[in-house]
Amino acid sequence: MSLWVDKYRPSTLAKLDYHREQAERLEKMVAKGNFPHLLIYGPPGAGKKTRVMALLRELYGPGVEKLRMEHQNFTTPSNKKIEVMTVASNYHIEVNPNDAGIYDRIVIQEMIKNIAQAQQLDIGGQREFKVVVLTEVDKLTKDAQHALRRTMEKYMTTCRLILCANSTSKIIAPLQSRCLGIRVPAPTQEDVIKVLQMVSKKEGINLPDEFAIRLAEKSERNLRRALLMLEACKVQQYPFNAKQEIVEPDWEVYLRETGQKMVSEQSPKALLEVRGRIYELLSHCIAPEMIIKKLLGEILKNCDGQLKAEITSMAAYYEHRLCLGSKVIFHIEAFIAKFMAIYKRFLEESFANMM
Amino acid sequence: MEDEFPDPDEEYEMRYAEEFELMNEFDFEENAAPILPKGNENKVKKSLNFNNAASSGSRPSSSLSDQLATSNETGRKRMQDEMFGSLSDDDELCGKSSNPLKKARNDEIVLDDQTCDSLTESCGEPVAVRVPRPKRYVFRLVPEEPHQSITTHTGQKLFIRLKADESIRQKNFDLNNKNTGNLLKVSVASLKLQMHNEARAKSSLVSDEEFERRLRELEKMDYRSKGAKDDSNVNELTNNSNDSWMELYRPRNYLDLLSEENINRTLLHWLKLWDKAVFNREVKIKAPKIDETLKPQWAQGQKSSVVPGRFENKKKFEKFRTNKQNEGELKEELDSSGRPLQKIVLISGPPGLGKTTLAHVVAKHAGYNPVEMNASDDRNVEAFKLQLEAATQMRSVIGSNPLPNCLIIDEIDGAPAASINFLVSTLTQEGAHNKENNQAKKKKKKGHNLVSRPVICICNDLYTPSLRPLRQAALVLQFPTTNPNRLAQRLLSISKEQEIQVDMSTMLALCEKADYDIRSCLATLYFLKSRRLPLRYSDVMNLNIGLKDNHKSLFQVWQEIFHIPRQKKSQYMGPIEHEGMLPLAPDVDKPLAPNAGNNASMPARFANILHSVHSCGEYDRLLQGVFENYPTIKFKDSYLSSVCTGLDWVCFYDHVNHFIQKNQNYCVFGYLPYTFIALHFQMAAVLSQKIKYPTAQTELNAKVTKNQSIVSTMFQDLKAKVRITNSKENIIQDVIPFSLPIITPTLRPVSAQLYSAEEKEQILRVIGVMISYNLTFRQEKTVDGAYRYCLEPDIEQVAYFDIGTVQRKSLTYSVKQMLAREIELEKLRLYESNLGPVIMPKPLEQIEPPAMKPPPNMAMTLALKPKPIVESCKTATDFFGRPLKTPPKKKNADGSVQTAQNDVWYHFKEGYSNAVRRSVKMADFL
Repeated sequence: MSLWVDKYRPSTLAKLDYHREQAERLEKMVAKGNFPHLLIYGPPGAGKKTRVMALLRELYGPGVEKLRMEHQNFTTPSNKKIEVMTVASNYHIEVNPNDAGIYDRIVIQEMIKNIAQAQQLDIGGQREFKVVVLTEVDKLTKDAQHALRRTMEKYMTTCRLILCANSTSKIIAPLQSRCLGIRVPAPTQEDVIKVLQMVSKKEGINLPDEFAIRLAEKSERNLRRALLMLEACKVQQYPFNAKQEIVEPDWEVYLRETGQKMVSEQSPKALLEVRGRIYELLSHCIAPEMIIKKLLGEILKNCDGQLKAEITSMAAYYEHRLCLGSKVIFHIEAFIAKFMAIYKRFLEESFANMM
Repeated sequence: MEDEFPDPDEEYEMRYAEEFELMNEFDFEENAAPILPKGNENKVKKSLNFNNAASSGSRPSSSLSDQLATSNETGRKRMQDEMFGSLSDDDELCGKSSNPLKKARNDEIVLDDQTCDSLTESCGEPVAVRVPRPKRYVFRLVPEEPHQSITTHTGQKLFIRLKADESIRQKNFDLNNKNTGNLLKVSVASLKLQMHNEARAKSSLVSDEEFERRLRELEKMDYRSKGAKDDSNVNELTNNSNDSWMELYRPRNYLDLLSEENINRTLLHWLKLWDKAVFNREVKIKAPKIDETLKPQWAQGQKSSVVPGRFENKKKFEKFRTNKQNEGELKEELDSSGRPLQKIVLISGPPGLGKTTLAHVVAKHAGYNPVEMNASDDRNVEAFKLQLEAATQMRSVIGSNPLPNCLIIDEIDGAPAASINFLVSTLTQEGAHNKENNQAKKKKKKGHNLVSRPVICICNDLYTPSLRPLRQAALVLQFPTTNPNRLAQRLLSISKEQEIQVDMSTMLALCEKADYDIRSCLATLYFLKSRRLPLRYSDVMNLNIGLKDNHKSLFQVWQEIFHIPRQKKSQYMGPIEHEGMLPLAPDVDKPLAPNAGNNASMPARFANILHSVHSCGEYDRLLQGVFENYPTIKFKDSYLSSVCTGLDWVCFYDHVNHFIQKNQNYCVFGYLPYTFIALHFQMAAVLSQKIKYPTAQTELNAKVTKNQSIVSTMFQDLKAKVRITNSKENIIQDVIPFSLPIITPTLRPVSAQLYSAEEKEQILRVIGVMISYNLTFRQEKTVDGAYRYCLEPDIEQVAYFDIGTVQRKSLTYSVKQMLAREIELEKLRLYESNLGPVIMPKPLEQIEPPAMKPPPNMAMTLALKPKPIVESCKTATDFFGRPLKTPPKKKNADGSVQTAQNDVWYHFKEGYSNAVRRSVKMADFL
């Protein structure tokens, strides 16, 4: 018994609820028997992993769903032992190389080579290749990515790679060219509402339409979040009231308040206070890119036209620099200070205009 | 005397004195041979030259020159007479008549300074003095050589040649210089030298320099006796001259100390407090002059450094005293064993101020024998213990008046922490005794453990971690920097003794350059003395040696970065040459020293900050401090523009640093300090403000690691199927925040059995979720002693923020307890059944993998099923909890019939099961 997210996850390609054309194409590709390395990317909550599992099941049958957890040990050249958890079935193995930290290159080289070099014994009964699923490849170091490309080419016959990523911007071009890119876009709002309705029907609860619409909006087209919200709201208060308050994650509320503070006062003192809040968010392991994105969303509500463009470009600039540096708080604070400077000047000008 | 009356020729010559002057000057210029005449040959040659010149040049009166040419020596003499005859007309510069002159041609007199002097002193008779041609010392008209003008009392201007300094000095000691112009045959200097040689010959043991030195000292004896030093110093000085100046000029008694009066007095006073314990003298504690009760209420009990206030002696206020009060405030009271409350004193300060000297001098002054223990001794705990005992409990048996020991522990900030702890614990040992009410026998027993001698500790860095316990237990004296004037005075007197010519301003500059460190000043002076030249101001400023490797502390650099220095023009405006030590300041050609020129100008500030940052070296920590403190600094900034620029620089620093650390490529390391200069120019204020040490980053790191470990624990034991669809990021952002409300259903506060079907279903679901996400409740004890259940792993910490408006629901204690138990049971059940994902115990609806057989019925008996759930959800079970598969089956007590029908059977040893097993006879049924 688990969350509805996991419970009602479709297990075959046929059962997918949205992006039907893509699903059909994938089925056909699998039916042909041969397919290249895949790079599946898209925003979080769109259903990438679901599709990977469904694809695997299409390839290998339901045996693929019998999963077990394994620990694999590697030794780095500097004699450090690292342990990585993998999820495996008889036909595939899934690993997140980022678990090894800076030694992800070792993971890729050793493990994938081991798997790839072991040839399948019984050709007749199964496919001739194994599948390795690598998740979060956009967080890989450049070294690891370069190590990967050679492995990919060499062991094409015995091993297919399925790479999952959030976006392709951080993946090096050679890797992108060696893979077939499959973009899984976020579901539309109607798709989300449809899924919500389906789940609530299966669970036997009554979901008013208005509420469903509100839920879909709040979830920002992230289906996982939408389902979690639904479940949380149901636990909090059922039967549903259309005007019911929707549960929100704490960090989003906190971020929103921070954005409001930024807009309300611009001074070094306010900067100090906002900095304290950012520290709090960072200590709760919220990703810094997410922080900037959500802050931007909040403060744009209080800006008009041309200011929006300026501030958005600033946000992009600072987020980019954030990725190049190591101390994220510097860059976030630089962005906040810049926003405050621009906004203050804007306010003064509008006051002057009004006078 | 033939020359007493001028000849007619001479008369004639006198009339045309001026022309002759001119001629003479011409001649002298041609014959400019500056070397001192060494022998007669030269003179002869020169005379010849003169003749030649005389014949070749065009003279106004050729007859005169002929005359001069023919009568060689006479002419010469006459010329000289002319020269000095004209002088004698003025009858003031004339010297005495020098008798041997006349015809004694070879008696030549070199007109050196002495003769000149004699000439100027007397007047009257003409002096016929032979002057070597090339050297002429007195001129009528302005000469070309460096000269000094003199006006005679008649108003006539004369010019006297100047000589360079070296030549004067050398002349004094140049013994080859035949000073035959003196009254003596041999010059005084040569006589002296003869005397030296004889004395040296006599005492062959004494070295040459030393002998000279001693002589010089003897000469200066009278000076010194007038000076401020004692006889003891003199004795010291005439000892081994190879002693370093540090040793020579170390103050020997209390009055000579160079440090502030305050510190000296405090230390001495503290030492005197030990008199009761050590010498059995009564210690006078100054009674408060003002009656405390007469002070206004708010002023009563105010602490002053010497006078004990009204509240100080009260024991109950002990606990309110913070450690800060220990610093620098001497507690006058004595404890029960007669020792002062503060048994150790800790003197701290930068090196070279005179701390060790102070300790020794004061100890001697107060009548102790100082025993020193410093960094060159072994300082582990055993050695320390030994030394401590030796110092405090023993005394020297040799000597007529053995003094008690006073232990001076020098350089204690390098001692291992264990030793310091030992020291503190032994010295504060008697604290326990005080509390007991003077039980004499106890005291006697432990009396010999008490430390009854004063201990003085010296350190450089007061805030070393190992010194923390000592800081709290000791009287802390912070050594102030030496007063520059006093230091300069002392150095001046030293340099007078050592024959270095230097003036006050130069000395002050030297002191400032050496950072008022006595040792390095002395070392620099020693070095400069070897040059044997007077010390000039420019020398000091150009000095490359003697500069300490200035390591500035973080706080100093932070203060400098945030503070615009006030305009302070330094005295020295000239260029300063450093050999590539300092970087070029912008738009100044020469490298700029930090203190030169206008202090507050942009180039000066630039160079100053750069220098400070370089000398500190810890760029990361510096930047952290600047970053954390800048919002509190009140600098002029509208529209936050300087903040933005400053932060851009900070980002630049971060990028460069990231590059360096990622690629291990340090070639761009040199760009890092310029960030601080930019920050200074953007964010400095005129008022200086308090800087806090940056802690936010470390706190952040600690929290992040904690939260990440919580998430990792949760993540690691996730079931495979759940894991495959979740990444850590998703979990943190989505799953955790939502799962918390999901697992807190609203339940009525009734006991577990009374739950309705819905509620039970809710609970089941909660259990399912928690198991699949590896959560459980765990009991723990809070600080108040109450028990509570909290999530394990504690994802509430990760998910929950400090938001005021959100209401958080949570389950009651009993519900959590029940849930915890259920989870345990369920986990056991799962383990037994060995199924994949969590399944509700509804065996008929299960999706089981086909490979698995249904579990044997006996397995069911192992798990205890909680009653309420069982009632509602289970299919009918028998008394033992086995599901009834074949209802009409006959059951036996031990179930052996059942096992025979399956492939797998168990045989238990169930122990006592009296309640269950009962042999039943058929007869009972009938």
